[in-house]
This record gives sequence, structure tokens and C-alpha cells, in this order.
Amino acid sequence: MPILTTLIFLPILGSLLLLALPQAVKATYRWVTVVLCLLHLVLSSWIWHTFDPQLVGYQFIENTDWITMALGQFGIVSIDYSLGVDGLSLPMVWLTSLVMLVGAVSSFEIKTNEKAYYALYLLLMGTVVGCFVALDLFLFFLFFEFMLLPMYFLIGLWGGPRREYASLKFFIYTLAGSVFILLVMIGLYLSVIDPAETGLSIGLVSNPAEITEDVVAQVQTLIARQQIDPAQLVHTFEIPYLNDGRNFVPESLLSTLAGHEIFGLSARLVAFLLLFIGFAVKLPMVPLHTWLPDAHVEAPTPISVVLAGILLKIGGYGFFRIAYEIFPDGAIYFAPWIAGLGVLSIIYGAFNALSQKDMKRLIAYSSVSHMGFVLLGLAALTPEGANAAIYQLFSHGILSPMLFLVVGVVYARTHDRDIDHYQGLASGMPAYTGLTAIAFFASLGLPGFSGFVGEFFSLLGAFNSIYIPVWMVILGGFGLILGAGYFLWTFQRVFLGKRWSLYEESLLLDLNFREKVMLVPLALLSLFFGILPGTVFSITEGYVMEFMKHFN
Amino acid sequence: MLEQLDHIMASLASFTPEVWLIVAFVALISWDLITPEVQEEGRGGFFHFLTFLVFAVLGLFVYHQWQTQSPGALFHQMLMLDGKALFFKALITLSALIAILHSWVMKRRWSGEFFSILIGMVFGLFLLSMATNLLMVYLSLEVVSISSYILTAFRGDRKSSEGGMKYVLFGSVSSGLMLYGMSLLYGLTTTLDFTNPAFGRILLSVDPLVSASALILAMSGLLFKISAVPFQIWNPDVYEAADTPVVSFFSVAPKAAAFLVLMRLFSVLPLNFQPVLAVISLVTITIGNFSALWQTDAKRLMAYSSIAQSGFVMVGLVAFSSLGNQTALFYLATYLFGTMASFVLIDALSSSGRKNSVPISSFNGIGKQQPLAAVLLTIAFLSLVGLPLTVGFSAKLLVFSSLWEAYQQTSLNLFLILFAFGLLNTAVSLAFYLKIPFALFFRKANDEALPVSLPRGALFLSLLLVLPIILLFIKTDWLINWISGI
Repeated sequence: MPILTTLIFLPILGSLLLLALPQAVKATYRWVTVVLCLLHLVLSSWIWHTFDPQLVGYQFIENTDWITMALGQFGIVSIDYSLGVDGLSLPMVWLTSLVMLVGAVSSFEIKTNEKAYYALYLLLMGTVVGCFVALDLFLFFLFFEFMLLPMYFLIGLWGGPRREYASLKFFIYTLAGSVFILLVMIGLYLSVIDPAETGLSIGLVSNPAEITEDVVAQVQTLIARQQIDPAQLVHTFEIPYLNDGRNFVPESLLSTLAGHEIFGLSARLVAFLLLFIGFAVKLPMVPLHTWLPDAHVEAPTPISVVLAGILLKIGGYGFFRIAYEIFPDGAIYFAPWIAGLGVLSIIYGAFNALSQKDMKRLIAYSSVSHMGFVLLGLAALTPEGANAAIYQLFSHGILSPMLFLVVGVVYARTHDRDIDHYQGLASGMPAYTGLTAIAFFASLGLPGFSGFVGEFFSLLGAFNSIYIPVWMVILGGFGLILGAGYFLWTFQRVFLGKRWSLYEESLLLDLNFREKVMLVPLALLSLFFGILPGTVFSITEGYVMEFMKHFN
Repeated sequence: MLEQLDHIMASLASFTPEVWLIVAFVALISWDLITPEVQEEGRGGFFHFLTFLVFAVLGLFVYHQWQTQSPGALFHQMLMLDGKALFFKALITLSALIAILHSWVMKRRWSGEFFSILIGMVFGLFLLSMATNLLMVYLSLEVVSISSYILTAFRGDRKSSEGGMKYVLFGSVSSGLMLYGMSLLYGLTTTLDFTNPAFGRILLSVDPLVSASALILAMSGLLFKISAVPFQIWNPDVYEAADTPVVSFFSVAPKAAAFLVLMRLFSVLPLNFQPVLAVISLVTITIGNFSALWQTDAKRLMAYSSIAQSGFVMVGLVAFSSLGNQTALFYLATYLFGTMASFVLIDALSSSGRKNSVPISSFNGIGKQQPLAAVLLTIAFLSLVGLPLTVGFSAKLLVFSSLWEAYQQTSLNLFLILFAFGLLNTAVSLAFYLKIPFALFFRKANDEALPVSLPRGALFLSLLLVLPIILLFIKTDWLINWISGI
């Protein structure tokens, strides 16, 4: 069974199924969604279990020809339906299943127009998974852009008072970001040749089964000597081909050898910058982050969970898979700048979080700050840094849903998230206080929880890096203190002291069963991955070793 | 003498679709004269059916030519019947069919001449798509223009008369400029046949300022038809004045034919003409998109959208390569589905009661009443933005690919600017294309608005138009491989 295709299309078919279900069975929509997400989690856990960390490269590969355009003298353009997972995408896929399941349970609070809601939710899920497993840049981009559409409607139709503004801002910001990616994508496929299919088209071999590494090498030599008729060159979007300099047409703009310049800067560096901006919007990185607090504040709780838990991760994933792997030269050239922006995100996000009155805005800015650590770890270009960046993505994917759920708890009871309107919740809401404490302490980087591992190793990686000045790393370290500051201060104001709130006592009841079902497993997972980070590192290590080869 | 007659006779054999149009034109107008109109408000279903039949048979003729015709010049190099001309004839026929179906399913009534004039306009467009002689271009363009003036002002109320008048004024100025430019070109090159190699060669040898100004002037009529900047001013007024099915036809067919002539003209132009076109293209995209941001009327919004879309098609032409032309053809063909589907649905979904102006607020809350149609309209708009899973994305990808390729060959920085800003414009365009879906889904219905009764035919027609938008994305190769074989 093509397992990755199943992972993509199971939710999408589920979405169609929901549309077909009659309005009379309204109550079952949520359960259909939860069951599908559960099944999804089982499948992706199975992949995690069978994945062999020793093997180099992609596993569970699926590859089918999709679009082949013959454009005369210009050559042939081949777009493939190509999927696979490696040590980078596997944790993200698993995380998607987990967060979407939690989000589905959290969605029980949605009371209007459920059919459309769950259909869009499942559609979103399919596209996110597709993004993580696509190995063809065209396919990746398709999922990457299409994902905006369900998200736009989910925020815009079920969001808070300023939802119209927030959803449009989200859509336009991220679409603008993806246009930057599209610019490079066009340049890339016009520059890169698929050596295997070109071997077929020039008749070096007669059927796909005969393609060996020798044939590929032979074609690459022919490409380098420009001995192939342009009409027979097969242009490709396949990411594994894009990150090999030998597949570039020598005189093409993005070739590693030609050294073309655009407005005085090497074309490859410009391309890297564009990709970087595109993914930085998604991550988000200061100063391109302004859509995030708005989107979070207006989105309903489950959508905030999904947005922080997975959608931001696609930005980080894109850095690794596309910007860094394809343009390592750019990554090296801009490393200090990227680290600087990472530190800026850490500090700026943290200071903003300190000043917020709205709990959801606070968490949103804490996300910006935490994503700064991903940038810092990535910019280090050391194995520790890269491992830590992936780990930080993963850990934040577990912790940020928890944080948003915690805020969702009070919001569901009073429709008010203002920090100043609550005090001393600890008495009367013990379970809530306990789980909030875990979420806060884990997020501020208490050893023993997953948050610590990511941040600590990011800083360590950055210290060991030859590209990053030490003062930047020290400054980044201050982010940890600021993080402790805003989390503890918030905790103190809301939970400690004499019990008081704007609202009646009868409203503020402790967690119900459904809320515990969401929060407890996340807390346990954070603890589990904090104590045994090796479970994740053993998967990512092999990938990071391959990744680092681009920078030597 | 005899030879000439032979040639004309042979040419006539390849002229069957046009002859059919003339016959249909005369027949329809006589029928209208001899049968008295039963009702005051004009001809309804039966004349729509007849006109539909005329265009359907026309489609068969074009298909037959496609199967049998080998490329060749007709009537002493006046016309050129090649694969491209046939492709555009097919596009024009298709858009005429859709427009007449649109008018039919929305139960429009027209007095009988309307249908004949529409047929006359198609005739002009067919000639234009084959014209390779400057005089022929002028002549067929005038046939198209005069028909369009009448169709715009056809309803005869104050608003549409005003729109029609503006159209006439702007149109005649631009055709005057065009004629002046053509006379200059003729004076310079001593030939009217612009596919003649001597035409390009001589233009290259004269002072660039002279040749450039003569060419720009000569192109003005065509730029007017595709509503490129600075000849775009008429567009919003005409779109608002004319009835929606007519606007839908205007936004595709005359543009397509004018683009083909531009394409033919560019194939002989000296390369140093590229930057001028790149600038026109960029300015057209930008002005179209940014003006559309402020619109509150759906038809005016579509007018600016169509200006911007013309700019995108021009991107393909700017490349001056066969790849560029192919991708521009692809763009035009797919633009047809996106824009005509939008017009059908705008017409059907608005609660404004079929007046000239269709305020965006008249779509408020309709999405709840008519979810399927609202989703279809959203898909059509997303295709115009160029988001994936719609063919609009493939089209943008392809035209900008051809531009990148042109940049690699010429290293002209202007191309890079067009490349980057053109694509970034799509993010801007999202803001206004979302306005109507936004009203449909997010806004509450107006209190005084009547419930929208969606004719079943309109839903079916729009479904038929939206289907290719998705299908041609999934199998982009079907259309583009066919086009590159032309």
C-alpha cells in the first residue's frame, strides 16, 4: 500500500465524505474527524516504527510521472508525483498527525456550520502532510500554497471579532511569501536537468529499469560539456536533483559554475535570499512576523493549535529542505545575518510577550521567540545546531498546542483572555493550574522537558559555529531568561495570590474530561521527549550527517 | 487574369467559416425583419437557439479546417491561415458560444439585430485573426469596433449610451492614431504586408526613434483592444455600461484576436523593441491591479482585472520567442475559462437585479443560499489570481518561465524587474479577487435584498466552465503539448 499517499489522501477523502454526509447526522462529523485523525496517527507511528535510521536518503518512496510538457526547442519539463520521508520529514509528519488529532478534539467547541468546518479542517490536514512528504518542488509548492485557502476560511469564518482583517492579512502575507519561493522555483527548474530521464530521452538507455549511477554520471558529463540538444533536455522539479550541482545546465543562471550576477550580487545568493524571505514569513521571523499575532488572536482555539503546532514548522522545514540544501553557498554567506535575525526574533519576541495583556497574544509572541532558536541553530551550520533546530521545531510542535489549549480553557469559560482579569486561579482549579505549570515550565526551558533540549543545543551549536560571533549567542541566551520572565510573571499574576476574577466563580470550573484528554498526553510527551531526546535525535542524526555534507 | 481568378477561387475554398458567418448574418437579419416581434421586450429563447446553432456549425467548420488545412496565404497575402489563426478562431468561437449561452440561460431578451451584430463581430474577429496586411488589420479592427460600440450601447438607457459614447470617442481616436502609424510604416517600408521579411529589415535600418514611434502608433489600435496602458481608460466604463454577457465576450474574444496580430507583428520586429513592451506590460499589470483594489462594483473590478490579465499575457509576448508565444496562447486559452465563468456567476449570484452596476455588497451572504455556485465563483477567481489547483497557476508559471528564459538569453535587467514585480503583483491581486468571495461567505445578507434565484442552466454552464480550470491544471500537458504542436 502506498503509505504516504494514504497519509495525504485519507484526510482529503474524509473531507469529501463529510460533505456528502447529510445534515441530519451532524453530531457524527466531529467523531468522523477524530477517528480519521486517530487512524492517521496510527499510520504515521507505524512509519516511525518501520523507518530505518541507518539508511541514507529517502524511504517509503513513491514516484509517478505526472505532467510532461514538451516545449519544442526549449526542452521537456517533467513534473513528478514524488513522495518520500527522511529523518527531517518523519518527525514533522508524526507531529502533524498528533497535533491534528489534538486540534480535532479541541474542535468540539465549534458550534456553527460544523460540516464546512470539519471538511476544511481535514482538507488542511491533507495539504500539510503533502507539504512534508513531497519530493517534487512543484508538488511541494502546490500543497504549500493550497494550504492557505482552508486556513483563510477557518480563521475568517470561525474566528474572533476582527477575523476578517486577520484572515486577509494572513492570506496576503503568506501568499506574498510564497511568490518569493515561486520566483526561485521557476529559475531552478529551468536550470536543472533530470539526468535519469534525459538519459532516456537521448536514447542512452531504452527503459527506466536500466538507469544506473553510471548512466547518470555519463549524462551529467554530457550536460557539463553541453553536448545534448536543448530540445532533449528534461527539466525537473525533483528536490533530490536540485541539490546536486552537476545537474545544472552550465550556462544557466543558477548554475554553481557560471557565477552570474544580478544587480551586483551572485544569482545564487539572490535566489537563496528570496527563498529565505519566503520561508521566513511562514516561520515567522522578525520583522516579517506581524501577521502571526493577529491570526492567532482571532483564530478559534483549535486553529491556533494547528497554526502554531504545525503550520509554522513548514517554514522551518522549508529552510532545511529547500533553501539550505539547494543553496548551501547562500547559507554560508548569510550565516551571521541569519543568526542575527534569529537572535532578534528571540529577543524582540520575548520583550513583546512581556508587554502583552492578552494571553493569546503573549503565547503568539513566545512562538516568535522560540522560532528564533530554530534560526539560530540552523545558522550555526554545525551538526548540533541542525539537530537542535529540528528538535526545537518538534518540541515546539508539542508545547505550543498545549499553551494555546491552556488559554482556550479560560476563553471557553468567560470569552476573555485578559491577564489582568484573573487572579489566584490555583485555588479551585488545581488540575488546570498543574497542567498550565507544566506547559509554562516546559516552554521556558526547564531541564527534563523537551523545550530545554532544543534551546540548549541550539545555543551550544551556535557557540561551536565558526560563522556566528559569540556575542550574538550570548544575547540569544538572554532570551531564555526573558522567556522565564514572561511565563513566570504570567503564571504568578493569573494563578497565584488571592482568588479574584471579573467573573462569577461558577463559571471558572476546573478542567473537564475532554480538556484533560488533550492536555495530559501532551504534557507526558513533552516529558518523555525531554528525558529521552534520543528518540528524536536517532531519527534526525542520519539526515543531519547528509545535510552537513553540503557545507563542507 | 485567369491566374488571379484561380487564386481567389482557391482562397474562397479556405474561407468557408467566414462565408457561413455572412450567410448567417444576412439570414438572421432578414428573419427578424419578416417575422414581427411577438413581445415588446424583444427576442428570447428562439433567437438564442438560432445563434447558438450558427456558432456551433461555425465550430464544426473550424474543426474541419483544423483537420484538413495546410497553412497558406489567402487573397494575395491579405490573410494568413495557419495553425495559430485556427487556434484563435476556435477560441473566439468558443467564447461566442459561451456568451450566447450565458445570455440564454440568464433569460435575456434582445431585439433581433443584437444577434446579427454579434455574428458580425465574430466575422470581424475571424478576419482579424488571419490578417497579415496592415490595411486588412485596420479594416477588420473597424468591423470589430463598430460592432462593439453598438453592442455596448444596445440597451439604450442613459448609462449604456454614455458608455457606448465614451467607447466610440476613445476607439476612434486610437484607430486614427493607428492609421497614422500605419501610413508612416508604409512610407518607411513601402509594403503593407508585415510578414514580409523586407518589412522588418527596413525597420531595423531606419532611425530607431522613427521606427519605434511609427510602430507604437500603429499598435495603438491593438493595444486599445487588449486594454493595455495607456489605452485602458475606456475599459471600466464600457464594462459597466454593457450587459454582462456582452462584457464577458468583450473580455476575451477581441483581446485574443488583437493579441494574435501583436504576436505576428512582434515576430518581425527588431529585438531592441523588447524593453518598450516590457515596460508596457509591467505598467499594465500594476495599474490594473492597484486600481482594482479600490473598486466597489463587481463589473468595474472585472474591468481592471482584465487590464491586469492582459499585462500577464504580454509577459509571454515580451519574451519574443516561440516558447513565449506558446505560453501566451496557453494563458489566453485558460483565461477564457476563468473570466467567462466569473461573469456568468457574477451575473447569476448578484442580488442587485440585473442593473448596469453590480455593487459588491449585493453578494453579501449569498454563499449560504447558493453554496455550490459561490464555491465555483471562488475557484474561478482563484484561477485568475493564479493559485495552485487551478489552471491559472500553470499559466502564470509558464509565461514567467518564458520570461526567465528570455532573461537568460538577453541579461536585460528590465526583464528581471518584470519577472519579480509581475509575480509579486499576484499577491496584490489576491486582495481584490477575494472581495466577492469575502462578501459571499463572510458577510451577512442585506436586509432588503431579495433571495437570489439561480437558474439551473447558469449553474450548469458555470460548472462546465470551472471543470476545465481544475482539469487543465492536473493535466497541463494536454493543452500545452497541443499548443506547442501548432
